[in-house]
Amino acid sequence: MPARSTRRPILNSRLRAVLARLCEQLGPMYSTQAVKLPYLVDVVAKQVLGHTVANATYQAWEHGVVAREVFRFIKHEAASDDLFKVQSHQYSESGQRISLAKKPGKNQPLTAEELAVVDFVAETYGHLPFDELGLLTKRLNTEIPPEEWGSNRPAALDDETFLRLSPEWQSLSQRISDADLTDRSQWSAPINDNPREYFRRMLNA
Amino acid sequence: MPRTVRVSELFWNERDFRKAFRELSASEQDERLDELDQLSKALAVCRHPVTDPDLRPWQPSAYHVQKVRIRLYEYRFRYPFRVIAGFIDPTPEEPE
Repeated sequence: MPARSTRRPILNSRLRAVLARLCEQLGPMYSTQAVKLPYLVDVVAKQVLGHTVANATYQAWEHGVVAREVFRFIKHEAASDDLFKVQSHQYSESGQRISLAKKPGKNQPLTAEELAVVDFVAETYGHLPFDELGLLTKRLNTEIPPEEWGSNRPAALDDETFLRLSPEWQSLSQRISDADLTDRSQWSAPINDNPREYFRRMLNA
Repeated sequence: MPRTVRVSELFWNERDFRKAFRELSASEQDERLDELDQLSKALAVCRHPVTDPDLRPWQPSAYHVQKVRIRLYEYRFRYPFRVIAGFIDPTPEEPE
């Protein structure tokens, strides 16, 4: 009798189901999307449902947050998983494309609420250009200095991360990034004497 | 000697933010102004923008965004405020 492999699969069953659902909603995904969208699923799920869904290891890579297991899965294991099909794209910087090879079975482990979160993320963030998706995950982790992107440092996954996902916060981060903060013509006079009065005036309170 | 505190006037006209502030009750608006006042005074004298114990109520952390080269820090307030403060070291040409 041939020896059976006892090696644990790279993806846990829930992360595998998240990946399958994302493929179902979006069609073939580039690896850039496949490694980043599960992070957004867990950022949203933690806030909305009180628990994570994909349970991957999220790390700060050079171009944003990556679910390490998904990266390893696409690279090493997806070809032998009959649920997925992986195709190389020789002339694409975004690497391989992953899609469903067959319809997922009915007994997948996610609840209807969890699937709704995955669908929300697919619909809201699944069509962003890749560089924008990477930047968005970076703006959720503003504590991480530029030189530590690419260090595999753990990415944040708390209430604060969810707040930073809001369009207002994302837009403010972008505006700060685009502004010349050293332009003194845009600075107020010193407010040390009476900060409260300055803020009251600026807010018409 | 306390450091000079100035406010960048680039971000005051955010419509959603101003609307959110207007919708607070008068006493909530007063509380937010008091808090801004306290933070401004604490920033003027703090020994470090993150680790100074007097800043702890605002849960400070470093704030990094692309392209910005000055040191930024984030201070958490109650809705709808967030304060991002930049610390710029004085130079002989620009001592303040």
